[in-house]
Amino acid sequence: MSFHSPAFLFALLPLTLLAYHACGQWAAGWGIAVLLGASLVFYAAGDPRHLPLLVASIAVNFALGQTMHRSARSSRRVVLLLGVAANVAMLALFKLRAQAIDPPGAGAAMAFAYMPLGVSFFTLQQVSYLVDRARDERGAPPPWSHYALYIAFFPHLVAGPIVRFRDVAPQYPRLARAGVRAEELAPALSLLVIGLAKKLLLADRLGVALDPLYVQASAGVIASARDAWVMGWGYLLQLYFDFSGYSDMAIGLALAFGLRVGVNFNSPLKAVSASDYVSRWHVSLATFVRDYVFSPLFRVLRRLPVASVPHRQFMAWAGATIVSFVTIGAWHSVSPTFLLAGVLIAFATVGFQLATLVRRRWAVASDARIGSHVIGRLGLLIGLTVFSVFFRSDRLATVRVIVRGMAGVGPWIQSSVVLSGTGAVTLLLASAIALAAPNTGQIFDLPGALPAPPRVRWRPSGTWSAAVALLAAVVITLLRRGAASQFIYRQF
Amino acid sequence: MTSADVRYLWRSAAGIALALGAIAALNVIADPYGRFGTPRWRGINDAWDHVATDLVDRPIPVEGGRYRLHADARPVVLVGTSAVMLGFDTRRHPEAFNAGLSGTTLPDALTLAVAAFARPCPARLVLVEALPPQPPDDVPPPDLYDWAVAFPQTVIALRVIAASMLGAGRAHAGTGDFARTLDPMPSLTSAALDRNVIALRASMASLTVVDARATRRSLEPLRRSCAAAQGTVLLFVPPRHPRILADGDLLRFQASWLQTLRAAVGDADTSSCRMRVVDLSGAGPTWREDDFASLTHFRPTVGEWAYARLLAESDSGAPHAPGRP
Repeated sequence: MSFHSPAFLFALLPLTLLAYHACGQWAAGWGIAVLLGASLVFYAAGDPRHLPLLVASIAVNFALGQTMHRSARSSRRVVLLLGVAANVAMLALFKLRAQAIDPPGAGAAMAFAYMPLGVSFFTLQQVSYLVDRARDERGAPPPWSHYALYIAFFPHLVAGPIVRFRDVAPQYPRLARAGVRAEELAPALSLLVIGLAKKLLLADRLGVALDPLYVQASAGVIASARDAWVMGWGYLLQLYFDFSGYSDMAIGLALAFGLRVGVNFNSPLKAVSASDYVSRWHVSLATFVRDYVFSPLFRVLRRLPVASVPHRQFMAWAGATIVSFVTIGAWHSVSPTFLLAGVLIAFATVGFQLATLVRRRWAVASDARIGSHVIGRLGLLIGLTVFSVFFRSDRLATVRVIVRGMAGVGPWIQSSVVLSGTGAVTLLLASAIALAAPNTGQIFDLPGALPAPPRVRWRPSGTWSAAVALLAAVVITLLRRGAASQFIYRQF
Repeated sequence: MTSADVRYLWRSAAGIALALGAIAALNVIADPYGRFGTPRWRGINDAWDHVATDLVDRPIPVEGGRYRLHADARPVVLVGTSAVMLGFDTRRHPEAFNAGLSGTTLPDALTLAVAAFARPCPARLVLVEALPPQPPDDVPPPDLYDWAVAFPQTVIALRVIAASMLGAGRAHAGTGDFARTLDPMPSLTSAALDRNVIALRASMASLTVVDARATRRSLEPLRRSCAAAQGTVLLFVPPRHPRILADGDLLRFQASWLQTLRAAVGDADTSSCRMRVVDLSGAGPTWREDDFASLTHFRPTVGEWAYARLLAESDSGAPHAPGRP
């Protein structure tokens, strides 16, 4: 079951909202039970085979957390290491298995078949819980129902955002009392509609336009350099609207039940540097990697007795950055294209940072800084366009064909497969929105969003209701009963 | 609960209902496939044969084709891919209905062929382009939502109304089927054809082809409806581009699935339905590359020859069931 399936939108969601609201009226205290039940139904409808794995994973990690609470400091570390190792090993095994079975070109279909739904996301949440519990020596462990909901709550179960227990736990007592509130439901459903529109109106339409070009490139055919750049930029936009659309839906659905979750995309294509981009794209994963991989590693590397202090500082930063990006690449998939993309992005980020240091060192004049700022932004967009080819291509040979095309190296093959008129319009519209429009975090004033002028903020006005209603009607026309497209990040 | 938020929710719900009602009305008025039986009004919906046949939205054109066939009475029906849609110019043959659709698979083609025999005035001859026997798509048939509200159908409805308002319906009226003309389309260059041969090889190699037994099962509904209508079915392989005829891999692949198809047709009980496979790929004049607009699309001049040959083949077969003239 997906957020954009009619079964979810017109059956499970309204029934859950009704049941949750009824609890608030007549059975206060049962809110979490209702949400847990709905979440398990949601998971079982999407991946019934792996439901026992999800339940077992929750039980084992909760038990580990309890054990840590009762243990002395030294034993707590051992339990933590065991717990983290078990979670990471489980995730690695599934990823390696999917990669071993997955023949080139099968892509998402095979990944869906062999990867438990949401395993990459709920495993990271469990790891973050265990690490935080090990750090928090005095805090009492949560009730099991709160922990189970923290992992299994359907809005963020399948593809994030990756939330941390310490961020959401204070909100659970209110969730337990249940009851839907109009002041939350109105922006929540509006955000859901905007997320659905991003997915169905932009990402899926871009996919339909670009897929034939990628199939053709897979057979070694590319018509022009323009086609190659369109494929890269188009897929970057498809990925952005697919995943940010999903995140909007997830955040909106959580808000409908009263849970406030932070922004997951902060207009990443408006970033001015690689590090700025990293802090804006998939914010919850970037935050996880920063807190649980980068920072600990940086602290260790900084202590190594090599070079002078400033150099050691930079080397520690570069080393931790490279490991973090390779981790992010491997987290997505252990296929060569993803690992290579992780390495390349890591080195590009280090390169960007070096350039910044050089600029600071030589105190570049302000007009030159403006020039380098523009060049930096343009360079970043070009780099992201090239890297997105790695994420979309089924194998390295296809990457080579497209990247050679981008570099202007033929041979160009005349083909009847071209970007359709609808595809070109969608590409332009998506580009304008991604590069110039305020993001949903700003519009709905989500935690962690960039500041925005009040005039762009959502409010319960007639204009907003008309716009959302029109968008919702268009979204409803785009729903499919049968082979609906899946969210790209679901395969990770 | 604040009253502004409650008002917002009610207003949004009413707006959605209003917008969906307007979309449904648009689809019913345009009615591109005759699904709702809407009368044709000049300048509003008379360009109804300007329907899109996009590969992406498979069930709609196939189901739409069934409705269009149901409302038609022409005795000869052509079914197949865009090669049929573009290659047989039915303006020259008022007795024939061209139901060619882009990207059609054999199961789709068989669905349309069954519909041609099942209509109130059954077809006499159904010419089905022989395609690799594949398993049927796992896509549910369209329902009222797809016809009245779904986005692809709405886009088609808008096209119909726009074309009608621009007078295209009056300029184009006549065939009422899916035929389109290809003549203005230039031929591909030699290099492009070479690459297309490679792409076609890859595409053929990646197809899932079922065996003769499964093919016979999928032919069974057609055999039954053909027998009920006492009609004739010719599964024909159209004339092929010289590059295909010169490519050993493509020929071997074609021979392989054609053998499966022949075995399935040969094993089927065709005592009361004339059903045969006719291979025109290497027959007739020596076609030049200019006779084709692409590797898989022949021009109507070739289609004329093929159509005449198929009509002759339909008369030269075994007689119908005993007792039928």
